[in-house]
Amino acid sequence: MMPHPHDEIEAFALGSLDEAACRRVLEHADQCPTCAVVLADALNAVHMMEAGGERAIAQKISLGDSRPLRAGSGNLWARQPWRLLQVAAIAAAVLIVVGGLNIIRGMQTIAYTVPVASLVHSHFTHHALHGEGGNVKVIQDLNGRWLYLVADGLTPKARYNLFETVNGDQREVGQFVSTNSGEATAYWEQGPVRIQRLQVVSVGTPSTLLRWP
Amino acid sequence: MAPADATDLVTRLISGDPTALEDAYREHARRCNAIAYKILRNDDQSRDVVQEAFLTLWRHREGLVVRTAGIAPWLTVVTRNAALAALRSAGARSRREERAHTSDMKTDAPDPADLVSASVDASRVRRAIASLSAEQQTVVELAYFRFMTMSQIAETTQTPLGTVKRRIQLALRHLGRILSEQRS
Repeated sequence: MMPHPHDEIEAFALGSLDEAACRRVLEHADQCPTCAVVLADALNAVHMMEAGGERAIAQKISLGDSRPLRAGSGNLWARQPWRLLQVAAIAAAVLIVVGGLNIIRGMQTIAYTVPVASLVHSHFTHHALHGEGGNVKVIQDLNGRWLYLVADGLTPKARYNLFETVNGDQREVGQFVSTNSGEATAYWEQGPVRIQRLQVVSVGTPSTLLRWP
Repeated sequence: MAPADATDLVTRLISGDPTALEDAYREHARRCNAIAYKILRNDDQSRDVVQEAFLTLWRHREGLVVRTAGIAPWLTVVTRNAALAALRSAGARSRREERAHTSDMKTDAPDPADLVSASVDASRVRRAIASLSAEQQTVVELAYFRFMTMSQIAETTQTPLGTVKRRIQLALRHLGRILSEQRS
């Protein structure tokens, strides 16, 4: 895997990279959960920016609302149907190699270990926690069986608790420690639950720093 | 599209169901066309760009970003990037022809001011941009509204490339937070 393109992810989302760099970012993020989360945030930001401007321009152009993919003389796939087969063959040939995972089961933190297997084999949603003292995003398996936390902007080398509220009861999911640069990743497995609230609290400081919703 | 439908669509895409791609096209092609047209101002080029974006979606359908961000934000950015690549390619071609013929040649490149005015109804976005520092506003304006690459921004603003990258990074993260809070 190529080095993390940390300083190019937002530029990719804003359209400031050339084509080759765009491909590199996409291909890397396909298999790197940490960069995928950062990129997802950046894509959402640009998507929200586009959402306003596109309404005005959409009214000015005439375009069939539901143009079928394989209909119409101007359709690329209709003109070059081999391309669909080509990309399908390429996609089918891609294998995601998962190795080096050492996931400890139960409510236990594995800081800085990327849960590639879980991310590859599951469907998930993510919750952005809002508040003071950093940026935290928690990704949750749609069945509620695992949580993956990504954070930055935290106090360097500080210890934090993640709490979840399930069926009205708050409980500690686990602890994590930020790096020298204030970043953190952590992963927990648990039984299938529907989480109602998430909170991140600095250990030793009782006040809630960040919360979702 | 409801969240459950969007999740189902992603699941079907990952499983390689070609009808999922057609459903995605029906759901998102119009918006993608609007994004491409806003940059290219050319129907044929816009359609080709959108087709390329959906081919790219098929190619990356198993990727983590598609599943994390969802199809709509992913397609928005990939379509926009493809349109910008086409615009830059057309711009480079125009400059070559201009040099060869030493004549004035009108290009299809959109007027940035026109594009900004097309977005005037997005006051929410403009307010979010206004909350950035002056330096961050500049890089967002140049990257997002004037379609400049990082190198061009560095040259235009006489700023080191690394500084431009960092400003873009901080600016977009800030915008994402502000817009998310406004939405929620």
